[in-house]
Amino acid sequence: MDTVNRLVFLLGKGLRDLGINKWEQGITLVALTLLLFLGLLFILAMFNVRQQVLSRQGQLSFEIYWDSSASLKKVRKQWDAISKKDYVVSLTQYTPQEALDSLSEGLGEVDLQWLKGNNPLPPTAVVTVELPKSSPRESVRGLIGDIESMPGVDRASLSSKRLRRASTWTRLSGRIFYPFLAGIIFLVSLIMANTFKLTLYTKQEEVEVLRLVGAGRWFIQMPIFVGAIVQALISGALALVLLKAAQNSLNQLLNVPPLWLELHFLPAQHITIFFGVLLGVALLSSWVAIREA
Amino acid sequence: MLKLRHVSYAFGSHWVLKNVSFEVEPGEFVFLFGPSGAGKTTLLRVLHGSLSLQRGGAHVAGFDLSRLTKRMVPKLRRAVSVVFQEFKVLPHKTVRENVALPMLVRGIPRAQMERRTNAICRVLRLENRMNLPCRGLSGGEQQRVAIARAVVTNPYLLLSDEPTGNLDDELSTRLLEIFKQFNQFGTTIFLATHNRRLLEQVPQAKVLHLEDGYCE
Repeated sequence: MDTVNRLVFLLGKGLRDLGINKWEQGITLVALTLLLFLGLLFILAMFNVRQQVLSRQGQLSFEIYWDSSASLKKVRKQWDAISKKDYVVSLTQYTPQEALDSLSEGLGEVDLQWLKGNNPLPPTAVVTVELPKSSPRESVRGLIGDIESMPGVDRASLSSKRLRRASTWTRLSGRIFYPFLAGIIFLVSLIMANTFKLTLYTKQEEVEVLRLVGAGRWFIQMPIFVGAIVQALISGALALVLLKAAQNSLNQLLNVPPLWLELHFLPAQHITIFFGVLLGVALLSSWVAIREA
Repeated sequence: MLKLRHVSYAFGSHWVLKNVSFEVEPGEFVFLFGPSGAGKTTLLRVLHGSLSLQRGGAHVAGFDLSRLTKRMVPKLRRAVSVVFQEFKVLPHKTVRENVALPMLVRGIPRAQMERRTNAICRVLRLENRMNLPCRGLSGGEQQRVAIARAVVTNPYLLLSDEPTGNLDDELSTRLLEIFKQFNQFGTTIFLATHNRRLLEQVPQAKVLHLEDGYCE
């Protein structure tokens, strides 16, 4: 048997072996699915709490004023450039005429049209930025410096007190969220590893016999790794399906007046990390279990 | 085939094997005779690479046990087969699958594997049981499956630890006949037992006495 055939044989053996001890495998699958679902539900809750904190406290808006003599054509280009900059979430722009209309509306429908020919208001913009997790203050100050150095810009106004408060919230939410996430992953990994280990005790006899007849490391480990990976992937996928269903149900319950709380699903990056950790734990725990067998 | 010089082995502070030395030539039939607790199983486990050599020197089928690394243990076990009292067959697998297992591990082509499995099962009168799972077999049949698995690859050396311990007299005699048959084909047999009657059935065999860890 050449290497490729042997590899295919061992992969196939790993899949076929899932059919042995069906009850144990089934119970493991259910236990892992529920465990992962609970872990993911906690992470989803924390993720959404953090999103709420960041959207309420971690975003900042500030105004930019241009010289009243600045060419509107150039200012429009600058608005476009600013809206594409890092950290900028939105930009609301006002031409001098729009600013006049807005002021007139704000003053209670006072007619300011007599100023139309000699409008003293400059072009302005309100920029909303989301503070980055690392060096939030320095990053926003850098952005403001960039904007202020644009030709025609008079000033960008942002109080350092607001900036300090927002960056504190951003840092604080990160300091709570990431250790919590690590804790949950660690806890789930421990329970998962133990579940795998217990399941593999049913294979101890086979491992012992294989060693007795001269089976090498890969011949013994590969099918067990394949089985563990398949189980981890299936239970991970089932847990995600359950999580999506739970998110939909909770949204129907919470995203209604007066709460209007919308639960966002985990982003693709989080799900990739989740499957990465899952596979890592499956491989590591099955390796440890065979080592001890 | 087997050469031991001053081999000693201890579990903690208790020495189970004490200064054991002997030699076995290729093609010999050897009994390791001694009462329970004499150290027979420990010696067999050392020879099979399950326990690392602690003191002394040992050569088994060309392998120097004092230099045996973990990676080399599977290679040693492909040269030296073993049969235990408790059979150690896989109950959910068929007789055919159990017997073919060592060949599967060695990557022997399927057709050759099939041919050898059929042949050895015929010799051990298991041809009518080949597609049955081992859990449904009697003790004697399971022991024959274990022997078939051990000899199917034509090992240089066959170690056997109390192979008749779970069998009645008639089956024990039949089993010994099978060992004699394989010995005639050239396999060196090293059989550990506490049963004196077995010794009488193979008068030409060499007998090593092991008692309280000492070998004569």
